[in-house]
Amino acid sequence: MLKGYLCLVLHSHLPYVRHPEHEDFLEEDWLYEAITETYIPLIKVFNKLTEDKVDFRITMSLSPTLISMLQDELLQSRYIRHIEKLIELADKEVYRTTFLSEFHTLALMYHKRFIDARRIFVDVYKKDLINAFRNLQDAGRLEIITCGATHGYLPLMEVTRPSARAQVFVAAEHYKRVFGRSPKGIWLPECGYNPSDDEILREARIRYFFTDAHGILHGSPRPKYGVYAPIYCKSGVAAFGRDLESSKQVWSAEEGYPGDYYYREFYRDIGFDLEYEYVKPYIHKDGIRINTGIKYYRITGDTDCKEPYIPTRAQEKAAEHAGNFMFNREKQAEFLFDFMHKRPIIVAPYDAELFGHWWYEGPQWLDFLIRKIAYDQKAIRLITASEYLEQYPKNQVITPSMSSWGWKGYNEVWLEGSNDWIYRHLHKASEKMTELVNLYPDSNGLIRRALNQALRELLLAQSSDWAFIMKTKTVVGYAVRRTKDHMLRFTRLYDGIKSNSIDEAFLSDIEYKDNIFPDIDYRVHK
Amino acid sequence: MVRKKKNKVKNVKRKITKLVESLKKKTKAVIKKRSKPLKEKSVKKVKKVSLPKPVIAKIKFKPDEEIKRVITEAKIETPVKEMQYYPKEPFQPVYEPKPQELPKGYNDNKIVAMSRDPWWIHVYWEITKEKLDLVRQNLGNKIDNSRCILRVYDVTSINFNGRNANSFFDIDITLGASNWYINVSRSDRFYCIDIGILTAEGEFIMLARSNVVSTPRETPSWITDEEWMILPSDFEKLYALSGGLKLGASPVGLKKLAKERLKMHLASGAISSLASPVRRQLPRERGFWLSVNTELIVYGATEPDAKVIVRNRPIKLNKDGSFSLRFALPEGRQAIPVKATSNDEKDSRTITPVVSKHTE
Repeated sequence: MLKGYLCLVLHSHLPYVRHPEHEDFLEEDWLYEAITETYIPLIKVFNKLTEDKVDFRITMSLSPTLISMLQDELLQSRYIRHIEKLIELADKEVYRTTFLSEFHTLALMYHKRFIDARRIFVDVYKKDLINAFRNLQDAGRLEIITCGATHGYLPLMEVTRPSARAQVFVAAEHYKRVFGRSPKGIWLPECGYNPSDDEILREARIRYFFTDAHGILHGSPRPKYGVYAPIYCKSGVAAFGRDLESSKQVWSAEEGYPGDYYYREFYRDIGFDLEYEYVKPYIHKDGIRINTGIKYYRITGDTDCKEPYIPTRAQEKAAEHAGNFMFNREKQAEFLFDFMHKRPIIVAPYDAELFGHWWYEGPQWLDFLIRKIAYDQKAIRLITASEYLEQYPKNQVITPSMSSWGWKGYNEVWLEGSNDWIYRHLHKASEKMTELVNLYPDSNGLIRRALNQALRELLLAQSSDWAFIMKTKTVVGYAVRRTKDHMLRFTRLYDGIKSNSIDEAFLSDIEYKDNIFPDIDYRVHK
Repeated sequence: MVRKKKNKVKNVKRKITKLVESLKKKTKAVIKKRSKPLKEKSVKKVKKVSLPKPVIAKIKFKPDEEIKRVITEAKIETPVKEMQYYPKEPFQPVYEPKPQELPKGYNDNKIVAMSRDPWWIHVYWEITKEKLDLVRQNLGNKIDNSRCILRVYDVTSINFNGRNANSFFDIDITLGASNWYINVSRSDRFYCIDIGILTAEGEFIMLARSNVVSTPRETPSWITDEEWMILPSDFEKLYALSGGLKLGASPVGLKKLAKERLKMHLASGAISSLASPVRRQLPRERGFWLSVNTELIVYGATEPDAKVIVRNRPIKLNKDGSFSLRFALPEGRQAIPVKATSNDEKDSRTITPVVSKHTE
């Protein structure tokens, strides 16, 4: 008997990294790696499930920056260059490993995978993977939801509400243009919610969003069903809370599935392991060693002596873990059903890039999970948030508490010693943008172009990724530069507009570099 | 597909119209700048061309950087047969001399507050020198022994007018710090923060007042609603379940549960696409170390159109008929037969190097 529902949410986002002014740009690899390791494997899994007529529902958020990159012609052709290089390297690896049979099998596996990735990218989807996601949505399998325009972190925009509004409205408009319909839901960047943000969502006709567990649990009045039923904000927008138990099983560094010793080790890549001259053509052109994506070892254990990866063994583990996950959800649903006297919804959101990129076997695990849920049990069923709302339209009215899914659950990841300096600039630019919108309720020609570009620069500076990188100390220099560049570009446009001396050459230059959201209308920033 | 094509055509059309317009404008601008006469006629010709390339030919002088750029951009948008990975001449960012820095301030007198979590508030401020000088002047010698402070008001449930705060406390600061983390210790409250000067006599001169900011709740709300009534013990159970906590044998109280939940959040680490949830092993602490591997390069050449098979796998020759292969070399004896067959399959040759590796 059906006891409850599981709502799997895959959040896919990458910041807008596109540098036409450079022939080769290290950070663009984030996109290329994600295409090969996450998006294409997920598309393959979903397509095969559809082909096999397996009933499934997945909610997937695609951030507008990610969609824009996947649809950008320059990045598309650069991806082909990237995958062709990888195929060439894998081919060399097939020879190099001739006398090492365990590695040879793996080299052949990568070679096949890369060729297949190229085929799917070029031949099947004509370079635009959004086609794949759109088809899956139209087939009723995926529910694609939107995100902040550039993944701006809303709770720290409390003093600049027009920017929060622009993040939501630009995203919703962009979604309509890409998918030909309005988004039903939104993944708030970093799951960051601040009371009254839902008012903006209502205005943009978005019906639901997700919060972290304590967003609902600490909401007022007390939620009768905890995170296992949606609530309505006073605005009428529904909120679904994250279930921490199902999250933990996958996410946790200590006890999560991805740490299993038979799974592939992420941190042993031939880009670092092999002789320098040999890998040189496949790493960064300045000679910096990078991940190539070809990795031969399994996690093995808490040791430096890693053992070769055995795909069949890893696959068995993925099946085992999928079974374990499903079993736990069944038990959870059964318990909750008795407790609540109605069918609970268990919301399990993950970063899509976990599947395939960080956790190589992730897409396989998902495939096993979906098939097992469809055929091996009757207690739970997959559902999307909007379908649940249709079934249970009557819900408690609650004001959720401010929250995020970042470390410690609030704003600290994006507001601490390393990154707090950005807010005085971001807020100032936001104020100036509002001032410009009030000054120019209507405009055309060069001024309009400058105003639109000013909003693009502001939005790009607001990506939560820059503050996040500053905190995690990975590519800090790049994140700092991006923040400063967009702010400087914004200020120069602002000064030009105010003094009626817009430098068109400069404007054209940054329109060319920061070409996101071609149809943007600056007046949403109000 | 059709829609996409239509869009593409539309895009290209729009691009070209835009390009022609901007070229017209730019041409005029350039004419002025260079004071070189350019007949209206040639501009009209520009209108007729469908691809930007001939435009260069029509304009007799070397196009300026921006024109070149516009052309390159249009090229990318135009469907081209040849794969183009990047504009052939990487664009030089001449308009932005780098590196530039952001200004230290914006000539404002203000203080802005943001909550970090249930217990901490972050403020940043800017006070101009003019404002400070004016205050100093007004204060005269009362400025001696005065201090710069943040006055933190608890303004929960009131309409704050500067005098009716529930309570307040002061923090000594240095003005130059420009930002501060304030430990308010209390969740679910509203705060407002003044920055100002406190004289030895206790007179407070406000320099700027912040927005009102609230700290989020750190525990469940005490408010329940009648329609959706839940027993406290049931809620506690649900709270533990929702938070992914194990239920204890005896009730432990919500406060403790909330604390447990927070601890778990601490352990889960930051979540983002750009961070790995997969644990990275820290490099072992160890002393001097050495690792040695051997690889073998087998190279050679034959007729460029010959077929070459190395250890039963056909290989691709370079244009000049040469080839080079690399093998990881394990211990022991390895044979690497290389067989070349002419294109007409009449001639064939095999050479088999045998290599043995032995580590002492």
